[in-house]
Amino acid sequence: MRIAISTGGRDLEQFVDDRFGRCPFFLFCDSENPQGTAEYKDNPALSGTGGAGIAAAEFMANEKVEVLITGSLGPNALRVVEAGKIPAYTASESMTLIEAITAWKEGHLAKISEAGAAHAGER
Amino acid sequence: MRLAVLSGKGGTGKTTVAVNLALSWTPHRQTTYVDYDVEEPNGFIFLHPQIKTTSTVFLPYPKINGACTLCGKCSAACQYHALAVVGGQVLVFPELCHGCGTCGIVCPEGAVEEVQRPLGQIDEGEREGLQCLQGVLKEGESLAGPVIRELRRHEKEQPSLVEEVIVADCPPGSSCSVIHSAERSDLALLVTEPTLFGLHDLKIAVRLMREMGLEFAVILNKDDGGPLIREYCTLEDITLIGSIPFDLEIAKIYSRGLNLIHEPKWADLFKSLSERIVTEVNQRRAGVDRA
Repeated sequence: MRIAISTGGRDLEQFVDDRFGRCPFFLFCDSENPQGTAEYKDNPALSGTGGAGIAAAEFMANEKVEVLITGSLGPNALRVVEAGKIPAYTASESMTLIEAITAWKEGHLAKISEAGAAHAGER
Repeated sequence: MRLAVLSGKGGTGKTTVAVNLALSWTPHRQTTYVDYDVEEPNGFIFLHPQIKTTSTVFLPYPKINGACTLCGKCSAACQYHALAVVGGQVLVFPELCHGCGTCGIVCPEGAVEEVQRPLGQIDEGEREGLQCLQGVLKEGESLAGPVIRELRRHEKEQPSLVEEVIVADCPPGSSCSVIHSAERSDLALLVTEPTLFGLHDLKIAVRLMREMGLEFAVILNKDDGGPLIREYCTLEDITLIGSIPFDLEIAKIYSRGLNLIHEPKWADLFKSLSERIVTEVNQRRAGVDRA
């Protein structure tokens, strides 16, 4: 499965960023081989003045992401992610990327079905 | 002449100054009061004008028709991210749309139609000879700009004669809303108060005026007689055109929703302030003519 995780660093030992639209980077990898397939891309929505969640969610769809792991999704981002039929799961910022992938594979991450606060990542 | 009343800091007394100046001029000059603080207009609370017309301000947003091929050009071109092409459809977020029309321009298929949504309203009225205008942004909306621009179109052509007065009660701050409300004025009146916050935001407003090349002067409200604002004005060579004392009676009148000029003492203060403003505008115009 092609998996994407919001993050502040470019290493599997770096931590999950619980902001979705305003995280610095996204990790993309195959869940079966994270070490071998990990690539990191700048979040194209980071610099915009508004609608960051929408742009980041559209980026997920364009990247053909099959599973998204992040902190929470605002109402607009959730609408886009649902339209793209991308299941999203919540992970805490205390998890490293590799821990989050393992937790998802073991079914320990909760699915995001309700929107969190809008503009939560603007800090 | 057109006068812009602004402040930088909120709560310094823009509306008190704008409303009472407008009321002072009304018996002698053709006067219009315009409330540009569309996010929370409050001038009409004091003026109680009889509203004659109300018009809705609309903002266009895109509606995607069946000609769409999901190419994604509209979404890529929208700097406000009001569109997303995902899952075989185009999602539209009207509340993020600024109505710029770029999506329609870049669409190669003619698939973008424009629909309108109400963003706010313009009220026009009159109170005993004083023409009154206000813009009101709908609750929950964040785009004050289109309402301010529409309000500016409702305002009469800028009168060149000083016998005709437009008093523009501007929003607080120093954002685009303030710029669009204040630009093309004969004189900007910067209302401030003798606090560190007041001075801090006054400095920002002064920088804005200088950047815009707008003539301006300072009115010191809640004047405690202290040196804070006076020293700044002297240092920066800024005209302190008037002051309103820190006075409990003023606060009481204001809290009842009444106007200061109904008390003779304050009527005199605003009369002499209004005369000084006319003199100042005339002098600065003469200065420009000489130059």
